[in-house]
Amino acid sequence: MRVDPADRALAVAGAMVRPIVYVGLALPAVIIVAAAFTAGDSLRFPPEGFSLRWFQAALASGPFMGALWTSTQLACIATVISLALGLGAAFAIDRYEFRGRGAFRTLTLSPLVVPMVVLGLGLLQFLSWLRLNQTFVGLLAGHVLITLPYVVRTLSASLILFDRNLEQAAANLRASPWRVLRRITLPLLLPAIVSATVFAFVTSFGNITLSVFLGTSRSITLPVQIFTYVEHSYDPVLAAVSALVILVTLVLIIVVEKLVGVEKVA
Amino acid sequence: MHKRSFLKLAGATTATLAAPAILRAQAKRFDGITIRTNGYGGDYDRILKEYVAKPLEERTGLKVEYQASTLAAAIAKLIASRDNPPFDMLMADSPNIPELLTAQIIEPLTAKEVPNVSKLLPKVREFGDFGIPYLTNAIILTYNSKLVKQPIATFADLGRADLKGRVGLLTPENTGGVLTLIALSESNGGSLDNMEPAFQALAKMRENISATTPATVNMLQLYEQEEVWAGPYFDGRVYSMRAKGRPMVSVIPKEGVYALYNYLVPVKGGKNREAVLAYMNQALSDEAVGALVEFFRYAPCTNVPLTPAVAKEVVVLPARDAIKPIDWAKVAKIRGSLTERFNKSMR
Amino acid sequence: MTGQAAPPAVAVEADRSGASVGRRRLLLLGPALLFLVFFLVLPMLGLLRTSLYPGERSFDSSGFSLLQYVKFLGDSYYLGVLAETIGFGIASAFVSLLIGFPVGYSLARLPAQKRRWRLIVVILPLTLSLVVVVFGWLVVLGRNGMANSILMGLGIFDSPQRLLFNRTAVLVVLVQQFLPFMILSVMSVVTQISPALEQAAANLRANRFTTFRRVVLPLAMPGILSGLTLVFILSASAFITPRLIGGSKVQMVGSLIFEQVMAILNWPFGSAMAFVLLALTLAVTIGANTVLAHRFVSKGIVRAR
Repeated sequence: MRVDPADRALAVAGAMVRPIVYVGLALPAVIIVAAAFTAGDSLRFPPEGFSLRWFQAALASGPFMGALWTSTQLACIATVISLALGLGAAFAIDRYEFRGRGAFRTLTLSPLVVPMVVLGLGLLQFLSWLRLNQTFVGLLAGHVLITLPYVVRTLSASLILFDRNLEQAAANLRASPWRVLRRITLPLLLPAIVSATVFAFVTSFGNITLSVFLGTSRSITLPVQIFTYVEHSYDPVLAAVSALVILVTLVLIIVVEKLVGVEKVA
Repeated sequence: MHKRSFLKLAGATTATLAAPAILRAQAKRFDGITIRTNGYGGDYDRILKEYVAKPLEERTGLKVEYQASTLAAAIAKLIASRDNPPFDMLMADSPNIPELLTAQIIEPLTAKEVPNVSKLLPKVREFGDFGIPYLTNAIILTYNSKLVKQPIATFADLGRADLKGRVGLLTPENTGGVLTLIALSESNGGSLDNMEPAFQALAKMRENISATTPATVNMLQLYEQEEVWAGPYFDGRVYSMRAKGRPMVSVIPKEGVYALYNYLVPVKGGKNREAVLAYMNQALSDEAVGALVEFFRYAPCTNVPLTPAVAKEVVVLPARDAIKPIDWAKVAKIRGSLTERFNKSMR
Repeated sequence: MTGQAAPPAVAVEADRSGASVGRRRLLLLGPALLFLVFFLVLPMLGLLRTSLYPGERSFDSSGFSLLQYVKFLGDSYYLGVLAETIGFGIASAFVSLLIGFPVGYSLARLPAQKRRWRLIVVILPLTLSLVVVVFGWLVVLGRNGMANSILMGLGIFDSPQRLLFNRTAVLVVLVQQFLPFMILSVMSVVTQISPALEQAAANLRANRFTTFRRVVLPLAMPGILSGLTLVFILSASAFITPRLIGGSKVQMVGSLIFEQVMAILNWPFGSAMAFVLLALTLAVTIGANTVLAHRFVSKGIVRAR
């Protein structure tokens, strides 16, 4: 095939942009992880010396490890609930014509539009009125609220392009609606579901503001722990904790891949 | 982790063996009681746990639950859920107290209820019977002696030509920023009723101001990265940089020292008031305040004796009597407009 | 092809009895609807009420007044910050699209093995606490930082440049913060575009650019729109980044709201600002969705709504 100059330009541009983007995304993480290995007393890059002392400090730290566990638990539960609510909502929006469909869609996406501080304040006021402000349920509700939009939008975008012919064909072959759902629809939606899970989990895990407002002393999440630690102290323990979080995330991703099948991760 | 679980096992065994003995002994005063307070996080909480919560627990069985969050969030939480407060006690700073008073969230207490109040220095209880101050945070001037050749002595010096683009300020969102503005105003003939001189002074040094931030630790980063070379900053923070080997100099400004105090206040409607008072008493003790001062080198509000080595680095000690009193209620009223004016002038 | 398949499927749904459809629909959207009404609408209504107080505090307050809105919308300073905030949102969205689309596209087309590690790099920034990320950027963009070292090493500058506390720095960090969302949105939607379509276009002697413009782009539009609006909204509501990277020179409404709510405790004013920001971002979002979707619906590429 002839090599088109426009093609060449596009290829070159792509080849230049992509590595820069990857480097830009990875850079802060690389700096933090490197700084965590410092033997010195302060967060610096390049680090002074090499030592694992800050990792030891991080692992030995009850507050940080407890917070890590809390964050993971919370993110998992919130993601599952979000997926359940969001799957239904996305299906309803995509497959059914009804009055107020547009409004409903906007409603599901609106938690994103509200500034986090405002969401936190509003929920705090409301939950206090209900006497739910110091409970795990309140915190969980907040987290489901901010993860739901991601689930709905990711699934919606995927459902729009879904080829209904496949479902039609299965129905024609006399598969029950439930069977069609289980064997055709959901597997084909799997990339989007996995994508939605990632969005949701990461959003919940990394959330600071909402968790500060709604958190209780028994359920301090990791970002809040870091955020408040930093208000008063500032040492490489933070970098070590972040490095550990990266490690945990990597492990989780690899586990998910193994479970779901590497080809399906979208 | 291993050590901890072993100790737990050993402790549990001992406890079981000693159980009959304990039953015979008198039950501890606050057994089974937990009081909830907010926390500042990091080293601050660590020291409080070690020198206040732990001795208390050993003596009286009282447990303390620290809910670390930013102070602003803690106050917001408290105000939002006044009838079901999330804390029994609050750690707050001078600027917050008028707000808490207006919202009627805190209760007064007397020397009878907290005996160690007698250790407090004169003039530190800014709000009468409300609140117990224990530590002083002062705004002083600092500069990086490696990079700034000529010493700085006054706020006005920050406008010097050699400091172009090298000065860092805390914004009024930060209590340090409020103190800075008050200092700038009063040193130029203004007052809380007339803050105009502060903004005029700011306008004069505008060329020099390279960074403004509302976060104390962010400023620390900026000094460490040599992004900022000089400016007004908290005395304890300057010390922490010096302790890590940075060439930062602490300067008591000629115009005077402006400071706030860290307070403990009991929350209205909180549970276990007696336990809270016991905590406060312990917090005022020499071992607790002494530990805080030793770590942070902030000046104490009590007459706790300090070793010469420690006292040397508590830079505001000699100037303590010169700390200017501040009408925090008035500050609370104007804080909104101050912040707005600051933002507009910095844009 | 996909678009043409739609009508029969819709017809099938309409054939079933209205009651069963209604019931299934209720089951599907009921839980989400209930949840949202209870945990979003009601709290926001409460906050709206707060924004209508005339005073500076929300407790022990009474009365209805638009004073807070007048204060905000009547001041050119605030309007300026608002305009700048929207500007940042739009800029951030389009910059992320520009640099994120190639990445998302290539990720979708890569075999799974190669995709895995690149995907991890994309998700990595989302796992870091923002506070820690800001430190990373201070190191990179600071006076003694890597960027300046490189610039001076290459001889472009003689002395360290002020790379922080300006609009560019804020934009860069915002983009880096939210870029993964754009990449994932694009990737998610491009995987659903069969490569056969692009091959067919190539067989018809269209070069890559034309294929992109006439085949890929229209089909990827839902994902692109999704990513654009997401990044726009997140950027416009951001407050931690402008606070720490922008200094006082770069102000965004998010940080002003934070200031009012947290430090000054003026909740009425803070909530009023929040609702104005909310209204504006919603307007831009709905506007963009309608306009762009309409353009592609009319061409019959995407199913009509």
